[in-house]
Amino acid sequence: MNNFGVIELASAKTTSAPGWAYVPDTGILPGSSALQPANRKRARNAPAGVTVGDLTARQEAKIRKEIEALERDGGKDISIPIPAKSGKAPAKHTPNVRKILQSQKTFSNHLDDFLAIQAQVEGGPAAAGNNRPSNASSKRPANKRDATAASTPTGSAKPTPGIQEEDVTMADVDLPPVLVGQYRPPPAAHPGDNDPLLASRVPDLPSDEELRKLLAHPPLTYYETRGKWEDNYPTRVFCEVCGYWGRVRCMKCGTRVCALDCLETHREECVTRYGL
Amino acid sequence: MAGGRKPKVAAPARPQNTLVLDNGAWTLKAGLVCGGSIPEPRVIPNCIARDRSRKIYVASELDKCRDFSEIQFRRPVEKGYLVNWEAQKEIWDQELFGDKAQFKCDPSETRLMLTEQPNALPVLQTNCDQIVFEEYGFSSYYRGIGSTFNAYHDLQSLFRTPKDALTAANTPAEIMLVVDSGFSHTTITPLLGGRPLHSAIRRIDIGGKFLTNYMARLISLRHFDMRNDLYIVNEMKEASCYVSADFKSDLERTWKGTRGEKREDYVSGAGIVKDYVLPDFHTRHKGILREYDPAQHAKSRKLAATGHSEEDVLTLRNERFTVPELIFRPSDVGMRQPGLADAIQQSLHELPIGLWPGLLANIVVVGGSSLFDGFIQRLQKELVQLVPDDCIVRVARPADPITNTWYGAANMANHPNIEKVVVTKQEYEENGSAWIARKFSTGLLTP
Ligand SMILES: [Zn+2]
Ligand SMILES: [Zn+2]
Repeated sequence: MNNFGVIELASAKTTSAPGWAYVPDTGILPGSSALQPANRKRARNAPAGVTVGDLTARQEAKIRKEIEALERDGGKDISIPIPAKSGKAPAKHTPNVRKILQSQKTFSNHLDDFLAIQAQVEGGPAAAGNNRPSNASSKRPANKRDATAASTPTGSAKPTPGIQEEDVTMADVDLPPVLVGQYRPPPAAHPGDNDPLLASRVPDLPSDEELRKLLAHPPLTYYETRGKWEDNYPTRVFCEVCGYWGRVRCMKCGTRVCALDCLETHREECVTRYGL
Repeated sequence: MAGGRKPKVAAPARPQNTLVLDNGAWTLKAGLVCGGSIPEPRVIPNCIARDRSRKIYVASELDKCRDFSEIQFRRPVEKGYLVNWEAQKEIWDQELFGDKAQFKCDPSETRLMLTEQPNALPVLQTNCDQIVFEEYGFSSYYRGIGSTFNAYHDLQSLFRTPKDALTAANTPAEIMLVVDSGFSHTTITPLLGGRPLHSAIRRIDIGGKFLTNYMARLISLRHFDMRNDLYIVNEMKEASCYVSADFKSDLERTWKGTRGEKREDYVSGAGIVKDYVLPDFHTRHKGILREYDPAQHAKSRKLAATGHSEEDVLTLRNERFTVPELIFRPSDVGMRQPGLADAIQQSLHELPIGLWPGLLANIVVVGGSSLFDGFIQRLQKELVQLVPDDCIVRVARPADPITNTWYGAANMANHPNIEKVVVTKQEYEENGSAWIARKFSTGLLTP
C-alpha cells in the first residue's frame, strides 16, 4: 500500500493540465498543522507560498467553517414559535421569571457575557485570554483556584452534593474516611507474594486530607474543562471524496484525495470553485 | 420509607414525592418517585418541532407526526445546558403538569431532583433555580451533575463481580469514572462517593448532534443532499453506525481501489457495507437497514431507469464507522480536541496516581451515543494501551445507558439523608439564589 501514490502519479494523465499537479503525500503531517486553526489570527498570518504539508489559510478557514456547521443544531437558522394557547388567561410571573422567559439569548451569548465578566474580575484582557477556547496550551486549573480551596475554612471543605451514609454535618475531626477501600478487594494469596521481584507497584491511596481537598475543588469554567489538544497526538488525513486515506493532494487547493477516480471527481468541483 | 406515617401538619414537612427529571437536550426523562417506589421514567423528546406543512408539535406530540422529511426542531437545551426557558416551560407545563402528564404532581408538595451538565454557566444555573422556586414553587430542590447520579447503582453487579454485602443501590459507589456521551457533547467525570472531582472533569465537544451532522455531510457529498433531513439521518446513524475495532482494516476493506480495479471486498461489501432503505412516509414510516446485495442493486438500477423504482436505497460503506470514530478522534475532522481515551488520561493526570486503579477499574459509560456497537470495547482497548501496565481497565455500559442517570437519581431520592442536600423553598426565600448556587456547587451545608 505504501507505494500507492507513486503508482498513481506514474500513470497520471491529469498532471498535464495547466495549473494542476498531484503530489503523493506519504509522510506524517506535523501534528497540528492539519488541524482546525488555533484562531483567526493564525489563519490570516499563514504564509502565502505554502510548502507541501502545510495548509493554506484558505483551507484552514474551510475547516473552521465546516466544524462550525457541524456544531450547529439543525440545518438552517430556525425560529419555531411557541404554539398559541386559546382560552388561557395570561399567567402572572415574578419579575425574575418574566425576564428569564423573555430572554432569547443563546448559549453563545451567555458564554460571551460570562467571559466578559470574568475578564473584569480577573483584571484585564490578559487574564481573560487564558480562558479563550483558542488557547490550546492554556493553563491547568489555575493554581489560584487551589489556593482558594485551601484557604477556605476547613469546615467548609466539607462534603458536597453526594450523600454519605454518615451524618454529613458532623465536625471535621469526626469525618469518616472518604474511602474505605472496599472497591479494591485484596487479591488471593499467592506463593510468589513475598518475592521482591514481584513486589506490587500499585500506588498508595491518597490521604483523607488530600481527598477532601480534591472534593472541595470548585467547578472549572466551561473552557477550562475542555480536553486539550497536544501536539504529539497523531493526526490522519482522508480523501475528501470517498473517505479513504488522503494520499494525494491537489496543488491548486490542497484538497486530499485517495486516487484517480476521486481526483477526477474533485477536479470538477475544484474547477467550478476556483477556475482552471 | 421511614417517616411514611408522619402526619402532614408541620409547615416544611419532608415531601413524600420526588419528581426526578433528567433534562437532556435530545430527550427528557421524567418520573415521580412516590414514597420510595420507583416507576419507569417517561422518555420524552425535549423539543418543539415543525414539519414540512408547518404544523407544530410540542414534545411527546411528535408521536403524531407522520412525515418527518425536512422537519425542524427548536430545543430548550443548547450545548447540554438549559438555555431557553420559554420553550422549556412550554414542554414542562404540558408533559409534567398539563394534560399530557401521566402522574399528578403538585410542586408545592414535591421535591424536585434535576440533572445538569458539569461546568454550567452560573447565570443559567441561577435562571433555573429562580424558575424552580418562583414559577413552579417546588417544596424543595436538588440540582446535580447528571453523571454523579450514576453512582447510585449497584456497580459491582454491573461489572459482574461478587456482590458486596455493604452495597445497596442507594449507597453511592465509592469510586468510579463516568463517561456521558450524549447529544451535545461527551463528558468525563470521576466520582468519589457520588461526589464529582471537579478539577478532573473533562469534556470533548463531540456528541450525537455533531455525529448526525457529519453523517449528513458525508451523504450529501457522496449521494444527495440530506442536510435538511437530520431526523432521518439520525435514525440512519442509530441503525447503522458502529465503532470500529480496527479502523485501518475496515477502511481498507471498504475502499473501492484505483481506477478500474474491482477489489473483491468492495464488490462483496466485506460484511461491512449495508443498504439503508429510506422512509418515504407513505408505505414506509421508518428506514430499514439490510444486508448489502449487489445483485439487488443491479435490478433496482434497471427499475430506476424505467421509472419503476419503489424504494430509495442508500448504500453505506465507510460512513458506518467513520462517523462514531469522531468520538475517539475528533481530529479526523480537524477539531483540536483529544479523543475520548486521551481525554480520560488528561482527567486522570489531574488526580493523585493512587486513585487511578480504582477509577480505571470502574468506568461506566452512559448517554445515547454510547449505544454504538463496539463503543466500550474500543474504549477499553485504547485505555489499556495508555495507562500503566498494572492498572486493570474495566469499562461497562448499563443495560439502558439512556435512563441510567434517571434511575440513579431516583435511588438517591430514596436516600435517608436526602434532606441534607436539598434546598427548601423557605431557604431560597430567606437566602436567595446566590446562596443556592454556592450550596450546590461547593456542597456547603450551612450559609
Ligand atoms: Zn477517494
Ligand atoms: Zn482542488
